[in-house]
Amino acid sequence: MSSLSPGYNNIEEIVEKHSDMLLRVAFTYMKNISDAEDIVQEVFLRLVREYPSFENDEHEKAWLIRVAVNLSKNRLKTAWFRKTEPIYDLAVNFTDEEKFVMDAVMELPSKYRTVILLYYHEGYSIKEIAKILAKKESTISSRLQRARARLKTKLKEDFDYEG
Amino acid sequence: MKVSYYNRAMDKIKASDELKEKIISSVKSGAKRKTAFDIYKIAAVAAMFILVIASVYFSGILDKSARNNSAGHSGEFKIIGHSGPNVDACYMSVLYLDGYRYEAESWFSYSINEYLKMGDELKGEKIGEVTLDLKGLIYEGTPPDFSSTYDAGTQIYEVKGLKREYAVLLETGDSNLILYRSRKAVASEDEPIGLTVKEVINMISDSKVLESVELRSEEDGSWMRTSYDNRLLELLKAEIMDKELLNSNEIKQREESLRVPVNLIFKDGVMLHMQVYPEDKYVHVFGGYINISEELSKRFKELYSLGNEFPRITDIIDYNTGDIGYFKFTNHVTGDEIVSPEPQWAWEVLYGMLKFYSLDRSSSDVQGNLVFTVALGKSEENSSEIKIYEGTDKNLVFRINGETYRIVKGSLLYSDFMMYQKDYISY
Repeated sequence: MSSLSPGYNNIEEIVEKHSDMLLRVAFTYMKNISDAEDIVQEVFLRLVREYPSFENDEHEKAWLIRVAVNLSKNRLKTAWFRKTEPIYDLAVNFTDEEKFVMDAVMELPSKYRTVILLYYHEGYSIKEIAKILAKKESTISSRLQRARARLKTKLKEDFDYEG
Repeated sequence: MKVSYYNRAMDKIKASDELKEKIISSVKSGAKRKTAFDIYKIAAVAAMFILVIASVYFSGILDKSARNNSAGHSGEFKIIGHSGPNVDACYMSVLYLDGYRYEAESWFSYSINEYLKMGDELKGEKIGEVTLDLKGLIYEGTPPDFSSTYDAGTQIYEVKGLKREYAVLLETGDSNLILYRSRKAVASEDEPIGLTVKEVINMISDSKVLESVELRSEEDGSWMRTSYDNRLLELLKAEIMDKELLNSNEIKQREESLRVPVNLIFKDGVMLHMQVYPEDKYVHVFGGYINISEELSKRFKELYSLGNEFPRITDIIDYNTGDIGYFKFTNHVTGDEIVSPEPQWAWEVLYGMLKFYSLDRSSSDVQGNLVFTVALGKSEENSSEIKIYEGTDKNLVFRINGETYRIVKGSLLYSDFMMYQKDYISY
C-alpha cells in the first residue's frame, strides 16, 4: 500500500506532483483553464474525502486521472455548462506552430483528445489507458488510430505530418 | 502531427502557485470555493424553489394521485440546444423505443469484431425507422420512440429468433447492429424505475430459466469462464428476482470499488448483463441497483478470483512493448510483406486483438492453410514467429513456440486480420 494516503501532511506533495498533469487532462475536456482549475481542485478534494488506499504511485496517478476525466465529463453533461460555449481563454503564450497543432487536437471529439494526451504526452501505453478510462484496449487502439487519421487529414495540407 | 509541438504546448499548461495554494486551502477547510458555475447552480435551484412555492401557493393543495402519476412517468421531452463536439454521449449507440432505451451491448459479444460481421441473416420484420436523430442534441426528459443517435431514416428491424423486448437490429449502412434493451427510459436518475428483475426477465426471455453465470473481463469485456454453481444460481434467484430496482440515490456507491461484470444466461440463450460490486454488496442491472447478501457477494468474489478458464495470449507470449523493435507482417494469401515503421504500435494493437480470446492448447496438427506470419522481437535477428492458419471452420488457428492454439469461444477470421492489416500497418 502506498504511503501516500492523503493526510494533510503529504497533500502538498501530491498537489505539487500531479496538479500540472491533472490540469492538462481537465483542459482537454473543458478547453479553458479556469474550468480545468475547478476540476483539479475538486479532484484533490475527492482524494482527501474518499481516502482511497493505493497499491503504488502509478495506481494513485491513474486514480487521479480517472476522477479528473469523470468530473470533467459530468461537468460537460450538465445543462448549465452545455448551454455555454467553451472559451479558449489560455493565459499561455503558444508559438504559432504549437497553437496550430493544439487547435487541431482540441477540435477532435473529447474521447480522442484524452487518448492523444495520455498516449503522446503522458506516455501511457494503450493497455494502461484502457485501464484508466475503463475501456477495452481495442477501443483505445481504434480511438488512437482514428484520432491520428483525423489529425493527419487536417494537418497534412498545411503542415508536415509526423504520426 | 508534429508531436513535439503538441507536447511543448501542453508543457506550458501548468498549475499556478495560486491554484496550488487554493487547493491546499480548500482541502484543509474541506470546502471547495464557489465558482461561477456553482453560483449559477445555487441561483437556479433558488429560482426553482421559489417557483415551486409559488405554484403550491397559487394552485392550492396538490392532488395526491396526480403526484403519484407524475412520479411514474418520464418528464416532457424538450430539445434545449446543441452540444457541439464535446459530449461523449453523442457517440453512444442508443435507440429509444417502446419506453425503453436500447444500447449496443459489447458485454454480450464473443468476438472482437462481431458487429462488423453481421449480415442480413438475422434481419426479421421491419419495426420502423429512426425519426429523430439525437446526435449532438442537448435535451431534457425522455426522447420519444424512434429517437436514436443514428441518422433519421435508419431502418429498424426485429432480430430473427429474438423478442423485440430483448433486442432490435439497426441497418446502419456499413453493417447491421444489434441493440439490446438496457433500461427503462426515465427522464432522470432520480426517477423511480418501477420494475423488478423478474419483470425484466419476463420481458426479455421466453424460458425465464436461469442456467448459468458467465464471468466477463473488466478490462476488455471478453468471456472468461461460465459457472453452473447451483448455490450461486439459487442465491441469485432468491435474492434479486423479486426485488424492485433502486435508483442510484438509494444505494451506497464508491467510485473505486471492485466491479465484477457477469452475464446471467437463460435457457433460451437470452443474456442479462449485471455489474456486481461484492465489496459494497450490491449489483447494477437494467439501469437499477439491488442490495445483495454477504454470501452472494462472497460467491461472486470467488468466481472473480477463479479468473480465466483457459490461457490467453498473455499467458503464452511475454508482453513488453518496450522490447519490440521489429515487427513484420506477412499475408501469404495476397503476398504482402510489411515491416512496420512503428513496431511497438503494430504489436500493441495486434496484442489487444488477440488478448480478447481464450485459447485451448492442442497437440494435434493444424488442418488448414497458412495465411499470415507475424515476426516480432527486439530486432530482425532476435525475433520469433507466430504462424496463423485458416482452419477448416474458417476460424484462425495459431502456432506459437511449436504448439497449436485454437480459439475457445467466438471467432477470429481472415477478414479480421485483413482489417487489421489495412487499418493499422498499411501506410
